[in-house]
Amino acid sequence: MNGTATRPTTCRATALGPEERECLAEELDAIRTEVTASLGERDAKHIRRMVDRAQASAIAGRGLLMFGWGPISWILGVIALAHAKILENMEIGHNVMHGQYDWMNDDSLSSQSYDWDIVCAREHWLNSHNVEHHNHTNILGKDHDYGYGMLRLTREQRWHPATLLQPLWYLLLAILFQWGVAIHDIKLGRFFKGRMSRAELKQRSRPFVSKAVRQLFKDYVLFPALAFWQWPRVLLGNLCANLIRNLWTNAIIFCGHFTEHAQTFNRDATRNETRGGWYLRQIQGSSNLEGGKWFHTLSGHLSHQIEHHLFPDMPAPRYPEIAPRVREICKRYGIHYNSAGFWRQYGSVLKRIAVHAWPTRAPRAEAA
Amino acid sequence: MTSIPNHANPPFRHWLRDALHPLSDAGAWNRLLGRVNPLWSVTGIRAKVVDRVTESADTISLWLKPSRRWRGHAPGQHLMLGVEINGVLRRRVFSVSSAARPDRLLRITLQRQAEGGVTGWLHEHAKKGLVVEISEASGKFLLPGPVPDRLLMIAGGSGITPLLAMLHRMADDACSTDIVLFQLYRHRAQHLFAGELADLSRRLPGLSVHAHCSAEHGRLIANDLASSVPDLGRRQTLLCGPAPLMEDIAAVWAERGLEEHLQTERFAAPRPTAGTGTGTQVHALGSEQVFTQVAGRSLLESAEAAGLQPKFGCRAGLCRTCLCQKRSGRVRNLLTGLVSSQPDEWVQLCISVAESDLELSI
Repeated sequence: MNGTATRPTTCRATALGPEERECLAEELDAIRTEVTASLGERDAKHIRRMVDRAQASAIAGRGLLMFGWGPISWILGVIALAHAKILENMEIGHNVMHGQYDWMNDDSLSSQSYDWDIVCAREHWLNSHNVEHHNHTNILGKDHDYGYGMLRLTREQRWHPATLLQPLWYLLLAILFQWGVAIHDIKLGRFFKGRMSRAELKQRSRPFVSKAVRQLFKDYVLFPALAFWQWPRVLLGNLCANLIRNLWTNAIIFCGHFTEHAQTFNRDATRNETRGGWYLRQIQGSSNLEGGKWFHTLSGHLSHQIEHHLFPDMPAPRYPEIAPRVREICKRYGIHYNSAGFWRQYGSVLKRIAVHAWPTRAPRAEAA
Repeated sequence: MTSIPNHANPPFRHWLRDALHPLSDAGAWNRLLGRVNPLWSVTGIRAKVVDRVTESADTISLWLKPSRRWRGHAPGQHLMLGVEINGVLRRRVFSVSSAARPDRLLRITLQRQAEGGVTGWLHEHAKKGLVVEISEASGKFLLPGPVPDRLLMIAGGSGITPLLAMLHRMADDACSTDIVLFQLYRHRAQHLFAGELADLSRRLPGLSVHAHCSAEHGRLIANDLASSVPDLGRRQTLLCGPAPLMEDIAAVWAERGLEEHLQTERFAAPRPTAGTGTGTQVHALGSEQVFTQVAGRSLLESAEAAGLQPKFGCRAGLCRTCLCQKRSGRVRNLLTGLVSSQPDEWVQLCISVAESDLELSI
């Protein structure tokens, strides 16, 4: 069996005692306080610049698709539109909906009203992502983002013959990622297991259906129609831009918590978790990506997943600034700071998907 | 710069706006138009400062030229003015201190407040050419129509501003109403608009101004003020000033059975009156309930203990489900330890505690 697969990935005994955890919490809280007190015009300018850039890119992309001709303008249009969607979803939508810019008191950048350009309805996202995933990060059975209810990424998850096909499921999920995210919080699994009534399913699906209709109308009816005889070009361009966005966001997001050394946790170990314990779990369950400035921006600064999980409502461009300090703290406390380049991290995610498609044994069975 | 919201869009417009995004993004158009002309905006109303006048040591007036979208004001009304201070949009209400003019200019007068905020920032940064966001004028503190024969006006400090707008209007209309104006202020240096009122007295034959400086003449008791006006019962009274003055006057007028004759303007919402003893009182504006901040508990837990049911999510300061707008008061964030007393800011109930009486929109 592969060496990586047998490595225990679940945190059972951690070297840090309760007092050390408390100190860790204090040090991290100090960073938060310092940054919160220094928020100002610089952060406001950044997010407005991102909004301008995303909108200019969207207008350029849609313009090229609608009014351009020839394959070069089509390719440029697709790239510009995909860039706009990625920037809007990652650096603007995700971060604004975390409340990173609520302090600006600007209604157009408020977590209470912002709606992003993706099929996932904001109500669903705020629950599945902000409430469940950020609170219960990598706790098996509680963090529904772990494997998205369809992938087995650790030996502790139950194996099923259908799991053998999970590389295929993963490919489909990556291609249709925005749809996967959109239906995630409806919790279809519960319905199929008979734990949700048809009426409740209907009720839960309502925000999704309404958002999906609007998104489909926009990309596949309205904009193609506005282009008259050029409609196939626009329709295909929008489809490709959405596909590029799906593949990119999927790759970035999977690198956040499913890399080789990203740990998982079980319910019992985290029952009476302290604030320090919570911080520790956020660090151990997340992984960073290294790259240039443009890479961080296009990933919505989720390349600094560790910092994001420690301080989800801190304006994202601050993550690279505090990262060296977080890294230094981790070093002092002997906590592994999981950071590497994109291909290395993503490669380890793909490997994990492939390895755990097979019936890898649970650690308990191994001990017995 | 962003717009001050006026009203929610009906659903079908929301739908269309969503479908056409980003072409329908008003904020984007505003920023684009703002680059061409800082006064242009498709949603909000912007105004440019065209003149700045020093009225006293701590008070200035700003003459503003609003964009065409502004629908004008009636004398006595106020507007909300928004400026961006270090990345944060801050708003404050100001009375318009001028009457409608043919050149559409309007004037606001602002006294520098102790806590800084919008007034402090404007005192330091307002100069010709500055563009600010304003709202439509609103308020029911208006000249009675038709204008009665006898009026009594009582102004405390900068409370003179809405009354000044009314006087200008009456002067423009060559009104012959008998007006008694009591202008109260603390120190001689805070005597506002002395020259302008003298000028108005010449244009309004019925106007008599009684300036009263409490540092020199002692504090004017509401009862004495009432007694010094012999025909009080036949006068409509217009009152604007600090809360203690307004409460005193209102009490005396009520004693004399003259509530009907009293019209007042206040900027702060009335404070909750229930139980002003121990503990900090939180006024939930949505449900009109008052609850107490429980020691060692968050605002969310305190509200729940009082039987309120605010929305909540993680209860750990992460998800912002319990976010609500704080209208006034001082809160401490338990995560960052930062204390804030800015009006109209978002607070997370689950990680905040009240440090003073609060008004929350829950």
